[in-house]
Amino acid sequence: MIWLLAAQRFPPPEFTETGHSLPGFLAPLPRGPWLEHLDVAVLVGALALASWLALRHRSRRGIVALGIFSVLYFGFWRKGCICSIGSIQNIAQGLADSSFGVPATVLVFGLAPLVFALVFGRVFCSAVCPHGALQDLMLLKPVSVPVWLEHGLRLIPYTYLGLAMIFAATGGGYIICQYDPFVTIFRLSGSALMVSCGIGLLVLGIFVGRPYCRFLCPYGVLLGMASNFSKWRVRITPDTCTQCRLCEQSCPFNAINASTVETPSRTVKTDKRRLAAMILLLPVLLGLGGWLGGVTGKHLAGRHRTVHLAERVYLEESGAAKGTTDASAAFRITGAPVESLYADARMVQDRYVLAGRLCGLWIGLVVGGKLIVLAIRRKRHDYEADQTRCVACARCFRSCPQELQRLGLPVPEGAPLAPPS
Amino acid sequence: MNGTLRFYHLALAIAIASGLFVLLTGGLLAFNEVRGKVSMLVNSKQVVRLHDELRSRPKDEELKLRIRQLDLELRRETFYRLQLSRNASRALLGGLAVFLASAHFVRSSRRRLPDPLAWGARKAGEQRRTAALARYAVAGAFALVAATAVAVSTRPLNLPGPAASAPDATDPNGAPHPDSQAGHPSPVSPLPSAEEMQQQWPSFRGPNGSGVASNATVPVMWDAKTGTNILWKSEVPLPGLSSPVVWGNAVFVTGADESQSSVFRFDADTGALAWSATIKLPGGARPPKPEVGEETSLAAPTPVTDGRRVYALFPTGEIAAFDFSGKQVWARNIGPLENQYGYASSLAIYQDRLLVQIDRGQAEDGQSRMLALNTQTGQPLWEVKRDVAGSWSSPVVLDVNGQPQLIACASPFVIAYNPVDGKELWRNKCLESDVAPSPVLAGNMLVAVAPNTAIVGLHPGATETAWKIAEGAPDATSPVSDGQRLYVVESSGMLTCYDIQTGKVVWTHDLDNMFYASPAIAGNALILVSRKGNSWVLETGDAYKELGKGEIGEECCASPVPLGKRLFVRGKTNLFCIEAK
Repeated sequence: MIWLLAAQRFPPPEFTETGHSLPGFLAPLPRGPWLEHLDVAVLVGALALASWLALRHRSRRGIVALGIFSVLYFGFWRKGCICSIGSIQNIAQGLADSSFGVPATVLVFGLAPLVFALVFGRVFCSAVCPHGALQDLMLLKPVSVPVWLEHGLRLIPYTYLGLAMIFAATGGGYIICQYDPFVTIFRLSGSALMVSCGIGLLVLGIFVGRPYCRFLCPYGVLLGMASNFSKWRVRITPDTCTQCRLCEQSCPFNAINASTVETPSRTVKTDKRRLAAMILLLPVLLGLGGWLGGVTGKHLAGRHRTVHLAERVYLEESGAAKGTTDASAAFRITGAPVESLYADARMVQDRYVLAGRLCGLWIGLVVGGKLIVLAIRRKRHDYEADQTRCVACARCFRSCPQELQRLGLPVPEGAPLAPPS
Repeated sequence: MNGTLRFYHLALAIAIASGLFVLLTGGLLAFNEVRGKVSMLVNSKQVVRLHDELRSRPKDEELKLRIRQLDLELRRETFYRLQLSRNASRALLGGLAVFLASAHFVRSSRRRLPDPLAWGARKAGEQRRTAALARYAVAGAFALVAATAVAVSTRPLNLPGPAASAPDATDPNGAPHPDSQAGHPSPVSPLPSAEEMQQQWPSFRGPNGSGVASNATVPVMWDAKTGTNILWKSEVPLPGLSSPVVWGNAVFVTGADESQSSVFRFDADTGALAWSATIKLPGGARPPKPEVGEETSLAAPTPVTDGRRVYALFPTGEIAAFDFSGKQVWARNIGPLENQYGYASSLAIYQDRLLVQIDRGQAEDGQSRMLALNTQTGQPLWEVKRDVAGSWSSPVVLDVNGQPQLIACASPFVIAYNPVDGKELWRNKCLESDVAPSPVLAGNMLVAVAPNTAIVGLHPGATETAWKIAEGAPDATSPVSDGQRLYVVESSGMLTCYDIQTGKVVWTHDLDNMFYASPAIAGNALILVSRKGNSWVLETGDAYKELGKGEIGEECCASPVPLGKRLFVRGKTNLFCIEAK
């Protein structure tokens, strides 16, 4: 009960005359330590189960069932908090500010899905993340997003990740949590804007598979990068790929790389020249990104409370703004000199400039890297799940005749089967 | 009709019905929100109007009753609608779950296997075309991000440049700068001016950490046993090796034991204990007691004051500000501070920045740092890592050609920082071993000590040392200077006077006593207090000349504090005020 009492910062008034009794708490109460341990245990257990279901048992139904559980537990019961996606902000702030402590639970939520991704691929996205699972359940009539457009749109999460890290590391706030579209649905409350965004993304998710995961989620970027190194990962076929093409359109997330056997590639001089040009472009993009990031960072600093206050006070001091705001009036009562506030604000600005440069370099690196990768022509014999993009949803399994044969289900007529290996 | 088909039709009907329910409920919820019926209490124009009326008729009881009734009705209505809205949302989610389940069943029932033959053969060059389009898309997305960044960068910046930030917004008398008023109320409690600080003894070894009170005239003889020139003597409730700081008639000392870390204010005129205050960290728990050596204690760092508050730091990591009435303004834990012998660096202050030197472990451990806290809130303003080993030296803030410099010593560097933002200004690699003596400005020369190794003279900002004396370097006490000479007493009692320009020895004298307290200068009197509590008052100059002697009758490790006509000395148990009677 201690934490229940501790939640009341001020003693409640006593309505002795009217006998009015205070209503219960409106905000979520702090949780007991054992519940935090339970969250960690459920997360790790769900990750292990998702890995087994996707890689070993190859069960789409199991993945769906686990997804429903995650939506109910991490979503509606835990109200979308604690959340692995948002936890990276705590970690970033902890890394940037040695006086900021990151709770062990948050650390586990941030790192455990990445560790699993390093070993088994993006099993967190498959059925453990309530955001991903909710969108997965919404998908009814998948519409294919053109691959070229997908490449362009996938730059957004990288940028979002960079910005989120800037704001978290400099104490400017947690924008991933602030602009989380699904938390409003899990909590049945929120600003009109975010509720609209959440509903809009869910409606879009009926036709476009996991729009948030693919085109917005900053944590998905990290999971995708970790997944690239995974030793065990989702394979479409349990046996040998016969290039039957039956799986080609089974993935609503464009996460299957087609075989290049039927489209023989020719290595021509133009390809080589293009690759060389893209490699030469990389330092230019890095420079441009770093410069733009530095310039933008100084302006983004206005979001930080110290800079925001300093700007307001400066406007008041210079006569450009009339009256005071609550914050500026409170500052004046402290008696602190304005020069000291300006100096603090400039220090924050400097931090933002540095963080902005790093973010710009990051975006330049991502764009340059993507252009280089797109300029490389790869030969691929089998149809494969893309290491970065595959969210281990297990949809493609049953489109493979080898899988159907393994399960003892009827195989489509004429579908080529590999000899038993 | 077979069973599967019957289920299919049933699921289809459920999907249509639940889909319509979801659309209808969602539409009603949206309508309710758009019409503002949920937030009617907050937005009620009637309530606002009645409140305006009440301002003009504050004693109208009937009006008050109407407001209360309206408020109650609106609250009832608002909470009723909120509950309705919440229930409708739950029903919508339930309907959505039914819709999704039935729709997925319908979809899976009608699932057909793909027919790759109907798609035709994959076109040659398709991969290349897709890759080309993808490159354009990526470049386009980057252009969009860059354009957004440029658009954000057009937001005007409303901050004055660094050039406009004069370090002190108050005039020498402490009055607010006229330009800073601009029609607004002036700050109720401006920071002390540099002159104010010079007139007091606000920190370890006084203004600038020099150990000098040039206008002070203290007695040359005293004896605690006979009471000669002892104005008062008061017991300090808790032990500690920290030195007193003095502001006006307030004398502050710190003390700590196993259970508490406290600050004590004594009246400078009477020696009465005005108040004692114990640090209470948010949450109530005291950090674990660190391992400290017997000669360091749990209250070794000297507090600092700006005349508005007194700030105290303890080896437990507790740091707090108290106002002059003893009320805790803020407190926080900046630990752990544990180092080899126990943390002993004293605090320094510059304007509204409380400066803490935390040097621990070896240079390569990365545990050392310099921290600046806001004096009004205790919030960190900046922090810089220091690639130095653990030290027990205290930082000093000096004015070097109009520029404030925060000087900190630890093996192997003397490093100067800008106290405003923590930027490093210069460093000089001239120290080694366990640095405990603090740096001191002697004339235009900065003097630092590498214990038992060398005394180093350097010009602030210079990368090369001006002179280096290989003998007579103390391991605990700090030097003191009268502007022409440097006086250094070793722990063994060997007192040496050096010429500060050349570093050459002027004279030496063996006091044959152990010393931990750093010497101080009051006017032309050099004051030394040994560990036994024996004192010497010498005349500053080119020859050893004794003016008098004193005794406090108890052990002493704290440095003496001369101010005005008084000398404050903290012994092992008591605080002494010495003044000519």
